[in-house]
Amino acid sequence: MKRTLLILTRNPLSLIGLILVALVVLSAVFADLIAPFPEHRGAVVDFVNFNKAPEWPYIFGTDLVGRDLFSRIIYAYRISLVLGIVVLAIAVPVGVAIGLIAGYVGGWTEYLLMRLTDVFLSIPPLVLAMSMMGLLEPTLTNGMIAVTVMWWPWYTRLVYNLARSEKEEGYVLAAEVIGASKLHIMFREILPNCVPSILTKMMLDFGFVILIASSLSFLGLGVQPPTPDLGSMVAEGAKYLPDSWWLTVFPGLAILIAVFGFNLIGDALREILGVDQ
Amino acid sequence: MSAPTLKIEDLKLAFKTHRGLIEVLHGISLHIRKGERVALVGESGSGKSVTARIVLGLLQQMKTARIAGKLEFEGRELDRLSRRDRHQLRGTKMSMIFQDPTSSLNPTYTIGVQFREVLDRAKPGISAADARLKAVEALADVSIHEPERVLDSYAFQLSGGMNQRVMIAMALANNPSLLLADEPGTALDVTVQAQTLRLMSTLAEKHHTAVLFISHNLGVVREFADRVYVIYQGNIVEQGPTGALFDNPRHPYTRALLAAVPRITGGGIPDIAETTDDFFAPLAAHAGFSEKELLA
Amino acid sequence: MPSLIRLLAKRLGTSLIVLIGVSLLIFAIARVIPGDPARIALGPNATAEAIAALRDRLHLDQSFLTQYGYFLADLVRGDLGTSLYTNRPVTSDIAQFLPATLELVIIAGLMMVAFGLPLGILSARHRGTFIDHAIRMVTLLGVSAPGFVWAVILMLVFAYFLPLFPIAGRISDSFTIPPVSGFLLIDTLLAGNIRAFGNAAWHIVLPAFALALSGIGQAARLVRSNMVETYDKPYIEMAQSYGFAEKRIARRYAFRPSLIPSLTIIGLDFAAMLGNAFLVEAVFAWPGLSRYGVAVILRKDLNAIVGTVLIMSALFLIVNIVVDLLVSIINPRIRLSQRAS
Repeated sequence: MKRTLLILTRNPLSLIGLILVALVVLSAVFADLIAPFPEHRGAVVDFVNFNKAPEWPYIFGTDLVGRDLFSRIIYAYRISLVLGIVVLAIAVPVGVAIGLIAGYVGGWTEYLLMRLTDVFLSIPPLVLAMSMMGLLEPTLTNGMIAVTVMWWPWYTRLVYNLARSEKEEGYVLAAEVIGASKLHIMFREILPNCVPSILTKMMLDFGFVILIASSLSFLGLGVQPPTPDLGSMVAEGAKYLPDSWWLTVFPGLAILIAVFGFNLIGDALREILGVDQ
Repeated sequence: MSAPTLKIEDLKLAFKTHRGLIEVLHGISLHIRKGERVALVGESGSGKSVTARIVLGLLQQMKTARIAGKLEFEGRELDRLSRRDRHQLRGTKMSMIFQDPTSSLNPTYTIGVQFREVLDRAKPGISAADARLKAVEALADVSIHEPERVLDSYAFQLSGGMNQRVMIAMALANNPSLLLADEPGTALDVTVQAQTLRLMSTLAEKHHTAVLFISHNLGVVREFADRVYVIYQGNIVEQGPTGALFDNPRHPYTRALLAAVPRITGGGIPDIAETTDDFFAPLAAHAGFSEKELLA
Repeated sequence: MPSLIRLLAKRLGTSLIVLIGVSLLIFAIARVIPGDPARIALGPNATAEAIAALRDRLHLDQSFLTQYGYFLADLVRGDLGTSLYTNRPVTSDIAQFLPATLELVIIAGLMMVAFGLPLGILSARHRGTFIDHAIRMVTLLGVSAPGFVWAVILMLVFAYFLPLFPIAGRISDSFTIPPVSGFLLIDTLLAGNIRAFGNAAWHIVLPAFALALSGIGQAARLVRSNMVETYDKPYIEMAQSYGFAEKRIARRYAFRPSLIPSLTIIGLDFAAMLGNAFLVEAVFAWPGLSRYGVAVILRKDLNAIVGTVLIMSALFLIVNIVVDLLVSIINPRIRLSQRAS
């Protein structure tokens, strides 16, 4: 772990990634201290300072009801990160467990589980989450549910393929000969060998979960106002292009920076851990 | 006497790493004359494979490689040639055979297509029909009975032995003066390996091709080489005619090599348990077989 | 080629099973969700009779399986029901909006291949150099933002700041093109109106590029990494030992074998554009499925939602089948094993 971190700081690209992610995470965690106008995360109206181009103290400008965009972006990061953590915390264990079982047990179990996975994978990713969101009430919790439902199959497929090849390895055969239980073999023998691939994918996915969640709210199918959200900020601001460019450009760049940061680290991890795409 | 086909003088190689330079070759000299079959024997990591790659000019493109020494090919100093002239030699005047024949062929093209690419090196723009004719002939030379079928096959459809013959046919198709054989057929089973090596040897003789055998396999060396250089950790430690070297090894390392009991699979280089200071003793050349005497 | 036909038949078979699964899934999601779809559809002011009538029409009072049975029976007849939002058959709604979306996705897919593959090849050929690092950086940026962010940025820079491209729409209002295929790039040519074709092409550049950017990035990164891996194969060294030209080795020995694993995933990314098109259409006011899809989702228009998702998934599966066929055409290993079996 320490060594990995050391290598990450040595490569200039992954160092940039670490810095970006640190910026995003720290600003989300300490939003209350950093945000110049913490109360602007909610339904505040300030018609004196509405729709202002960037100028001190509004470094990213203000929105149509006079709220500080910089403060709102920081609080939006907080929500995005929570969403990312929750989605992966549910989708990864579920997906991994199903993949392990399908890949190791085989037979009818494998057929049924993998066809089920195929069903989820054959709906274009965004469309599945969109239709789920449409049918549920647009709240943060439901947003997490929708993104989780579209996410787990990717881990199933990853682990399924890994488990199928690991199954033939000597150490698995050895454990079988000793008479180890299936559960032991799956979770104690095979799973540890899948961890590098899973970790790398999680790091990359953290960025992509943020990206998909912002896409949903961009379409009006996610977090609802006045909760700050990067996607809905862009959607709102797009109506006022090009004059009020800051309304879209800063939230848009905020998405780009966060996702780019996670991708840079994920990319470097892939090289360090020697994981295939 | 005419110039030897290949002459290597004081060749040094080092790789630049973040821990500094790592020396791989400490200044080796060897030569091969026209039609001669010379073996370079050593353990893996002794520097024998890189030598062949330097001769071909493949290692030179690596940014981390530091190469010094003199390479002469048919009397011409290779480093003095222009990039183009040097490149021109590859695949025409010198060619190479690799360890694993099946994975050394492109899986997405048929043998016939790849054969034509090889022939195109010597005769740029060769027509498909001409290439096919020449390929059929070359395959027949390596005792392939259905050359047409083989040409239309992909490497993964053929046996390892068959692919090895294809590689030999390709390597000799342009009548090179030098054939570099890097552990030829080590990936094959022993009888097939012996068969294809015999074939290669006969053909090389027929074409008067000089062969540099790179091998860790003492059995193969004994059977197919006229002369032997023993390489240990980037130095040539002993050189001489095959018979004399095997019967009367001079250098402690060679002696250890020959004395160690080979493993059941046979042929491979035995594990030598310990390195002793003796192994770093100076080069032992058999009477009349030092570089100086041979090149005089 | 009978082997390819057999492969096609097999893939169509599994796709059909998966498609039935998709319909069950989306149908289940739609019915399991709390709230009365009829009430939601008709709004808060609807009378009890109206709601009861709609519940009856949608078979909402019957068991889930019966409902699904009705749905399947209709589906087989090519009937996806009536949209409660437009009051028209869902199939004709989709038929009206889909071509614009498909046109956008296809052009974006072409851009993905046209830019992504060469960038990936260039990066792999110069692996470890400045060119490689620069390309990797730029392509990673490409995948790091959703289509709507690129759409907004491209629009701001190339439509407002530098007015090189139109701001929105598919074609200028001054042109009237009789719809034949629904694809403006085809219909304008059919009408023999070159100026209209140019105008439509001019309109599609920015939205398609915004949609393609992440695909370009993905394709380039994938091609690079698979190609770099292939550069370590023994047949590359063999090709170098024969002195084949560097370009030739890159193309025939590194790129082509590496294309086989790359192509499957590029196909997936292309198919994913069907969903991402929604994001770009919204920014450029592109009259495709996006506005319809979002509208029916917000109105909980069950038939329309199920129909749209089903059509999207069918297209998604078709793209994947086509890619599979392409892969088996360029991969002799699959092609020949099919023939043998």
